[in-house]
This record gives sequence, structure tokens and C-alpha cells, in this order.
Amino acid sequence: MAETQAQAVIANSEVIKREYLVHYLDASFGSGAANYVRLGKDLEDFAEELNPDVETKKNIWGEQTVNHNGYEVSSEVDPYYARKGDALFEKLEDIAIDRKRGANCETTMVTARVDEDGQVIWARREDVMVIPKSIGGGTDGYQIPFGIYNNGNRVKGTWSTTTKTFTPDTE
Amino acid sequence: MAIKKTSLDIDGQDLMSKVLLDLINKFPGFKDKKVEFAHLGSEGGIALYPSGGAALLNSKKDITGRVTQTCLFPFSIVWKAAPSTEKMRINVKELLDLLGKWLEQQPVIVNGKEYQLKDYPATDGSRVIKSVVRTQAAYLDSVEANSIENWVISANLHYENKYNT
Repeated sequence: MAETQAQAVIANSEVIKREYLVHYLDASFGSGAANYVRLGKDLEDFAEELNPDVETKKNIWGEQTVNHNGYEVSSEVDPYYARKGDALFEKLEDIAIDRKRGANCETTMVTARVDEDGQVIWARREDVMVIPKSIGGGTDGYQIPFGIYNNGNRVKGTWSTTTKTFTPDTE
Repeated sequence: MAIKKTSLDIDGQDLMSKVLLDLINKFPGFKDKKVEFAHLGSEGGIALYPSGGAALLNSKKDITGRVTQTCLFPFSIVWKAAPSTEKMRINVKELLDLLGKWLEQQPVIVNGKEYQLKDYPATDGSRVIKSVVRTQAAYLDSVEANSIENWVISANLHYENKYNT
């Protein structure tokens, strides 16, 4: 009995594989139907940096208080190799070569967690700005690394990995 | 002292042997010759010999779960011949060196015409040849009792293997 319980504890404390947290960027950038492209090919590391705005204070009694003013969320996709037929690359190249700004860089990102069977556990969509950092790179391939800056309007919903569609929850 | 174990890509080794043999037989300088795999006749011939298997040099996994392995396939090409003149002997060595250069995708002149290997051949879809690099210029490896000479050129074939976990 003790061995089974120990095995269960070990099984339950297994590290969740990184590929179960998925990130998709809408390569349509608002022109036409959403076309979500999965991020991560060639990326060994990718994280949404939450950059929490936290202020701590101590009063004369030695008591600490914490003031949490929210998050400034951003992430980086580096390296990003241009691949033939990739809708996201074509859009990034368009922004980069003409130094486009503002609404031209606006789109949405979906982040979801899936289980081992591919069932979606949770999904969120948020408005983001996608801004290229550079264009070119070394001899191993044409690269356009970019930054993703979260821009609010974060919604909870359901995600279909087969149809690549996000459906916001109704209130 | 702990000995680091070398991992091998066995499937890749078999595949690269076939692909490389086909490629070498397309060398413009070998139009009237046939390169065989690991077999030389008693009087002469040209053969491809893998040297020790396809070693796995590096393995990286991206956040989508896709693994990219960088592999190395060392090989030698042996030309067994009985050159009766110095000119013939030089011709064997130079042709082997030209083969090595051609495999490295450098432009080569064969019978007055320029050739260059533009792309490496496709393989099984998951493995992609990245480069071939000579490790040694053609050299005389041995002379047999009946003056038959074995000329050798050695090189490494670098390839990548990608698969999803």
C-alpha cells in the first residue's frame, strides 16, 4: 500500500512537459479571418515575462506591506527563422521592411495548456503588439526575431487545437 | 574516470550510406566508373566505406517538443588501382581530390567543363544533409604485393535529424 501511494506521489509530481503549454499568434493581424500560427519551432526557450509592478514598504512597527500595481507582460521570439509558406513570417517581413507601426503591428495571441491526450485545460486570448527586433541574422537562415507586447483585453475561452479557433466564454 | 558513451543514429547511418553512395556515383568525374559499397575487387575498383557509424553530436528540443539532432557520418572512399605511370597515379589522386571538392559543393572542372553540386539530395524527410567536409586530402594508404595501390580520401557528412516527441 505504502509503495503504491509513494508511486502515486511520484507520478503526480512529474514535471509537466513544456510542449503542453502552447502559444499561438494570429498571423492575419486583423485583416480577414483569424489564422493562428503556433509559436515555438526552433525556440528552446520562450516565456511570457509578467514583469510584476510590486512595491514593498515597511512601517515603523516592522510590518511589511505590499502594493501590487499589476503586470507589464511581454515576450520574445528569438530565434525566428523565415520559412516558405509561413503566414506569420510574411507579415513580419512586411512590418520590418517598411518599418510599420501602430495598428499594423496589432494582433491577438492565444495561450493554452493541454494535457497528454491533447485536451485543452484552459485557454486565454489577449490583444498584443508584435514588433520585429531585427531582420537578417547569420548564415544559418533568414531571421526576423520579434517582441510580443501584451495590450490588454484578456479573455477566457475555449481553444480548439484542430480548427485553431478561440471561442470566448459568454458571461 | 567516467567514459562518455557515444550515441549513434543507426537508422541514419544506413540511410546516409545509401544516399551518399548514389550521390558519389553521380560525380561527373566518375561517368565511366561505378562506386560500390564496402567492396573492392581484387584487381581494382572504387568503394565507399563508412568509418564507425553516424555519431550523434548534439540534440536540442524546442518548446513544441520537436527534437533536432546534429549528426556526423564519417566515411572514406578507397580507389584501388594499378597505375603503371606517374601520370596515371597523379590522375587517381587528383580525381579523388576533385570528388572531395565537389562533395563540399565547391565548383570543379572535369574534362574542361565546370560542375557544382547545388543541393544535397533529399533523404527520408526527417534527415537533411547539411554539409560534407574533407578531413584529409587524397593519400596513398597502402601498396599491395602486386603493386596495386589503395588511394583514400576521408570526409565527414554532417546532417540533421528532426522528429516530434
